[in-house]
Amino acid sequence: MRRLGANRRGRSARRIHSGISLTSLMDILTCLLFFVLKSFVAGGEATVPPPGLKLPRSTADAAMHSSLVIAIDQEAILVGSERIASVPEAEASDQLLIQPLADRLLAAQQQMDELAKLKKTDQPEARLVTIQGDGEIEFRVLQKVMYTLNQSGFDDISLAVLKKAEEHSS
Amino acid sequence: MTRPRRQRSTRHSINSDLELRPLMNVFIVLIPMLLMSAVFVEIRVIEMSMPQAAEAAVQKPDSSFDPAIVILPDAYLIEVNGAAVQSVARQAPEADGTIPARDAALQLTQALASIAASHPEHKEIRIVAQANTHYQEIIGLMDVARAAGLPQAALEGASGGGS
Repeated sequence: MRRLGANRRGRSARRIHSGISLTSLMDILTCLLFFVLKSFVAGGEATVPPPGLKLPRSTADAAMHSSLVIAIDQEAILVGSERIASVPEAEASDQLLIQPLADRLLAAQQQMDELAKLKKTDQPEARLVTIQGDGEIEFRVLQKVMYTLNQSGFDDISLAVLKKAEEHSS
Repeated sequence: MTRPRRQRSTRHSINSDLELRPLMNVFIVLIPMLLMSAVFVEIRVIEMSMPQAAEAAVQKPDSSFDPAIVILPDAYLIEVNGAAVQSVARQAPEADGTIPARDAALQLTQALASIAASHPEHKEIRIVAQANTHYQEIIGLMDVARAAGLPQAALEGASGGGS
């Protein structure tokens, strides 16, 4: 009788431990986790344009670098997320130089110089700028922004675009 | 009396599996969070370098070959050294917003490819835009020039000056 009782307890113990095998699900989740993490690493510099800004579509394939970002939408010119100047005012102005943007770029340049001093590097920091322009903005605004960048010492400009599939029309 | 107890203890050690549930919980939280913050739209860049203020006044020695696309209100004019080579009608954008339209883009690509083939070492082209030309159209013309073998585009305003 005692032996029979012991056998029953043993069976019940087996039943408790025979749960769902999670090993295969763990494999799937681990693969998924690595895939998602890899997509972060492979994406390089991840920047999101401000809401409402529709980047132009292009077949360009160069990867984005870490740089100062200037966003131009239909209403304002932003440096980072800070609103610097109004687009209608810039359009109406007779001057090519956008003064508030030039002032902000000067401040950014000083920050870069201070960082270079802290790093104790002799080489000056590269003056890289990425322009995230709305596809509908007019060339006169872009021209003024680029002129202001040039006058402020930012000569290397990248135009941010959304990648589209290359057409094989020929 | 002692034998059954030993048997019980060995059964307990056999059934001690890895406890995966805490790790599962972490994964179940982590994966939706990463998926939500993942950027699926690829942002690329077109790199340009502007002449420095001192260099701007100096003309390049090799200015004998100077292709350009001039955006006119109703046409794209391809020029070489200031002389018009070909004119392509400027059409309305495609339904998906593509501009220049596919026919115009094809004609421009063929014309620019033949120009680029005559000077394979030359990679630059000027894009002369009107003040009210949309940015998307300029980017579209840069794509056309790149496809034709002229990847280094310089922008210029129709009234002069530019980058």
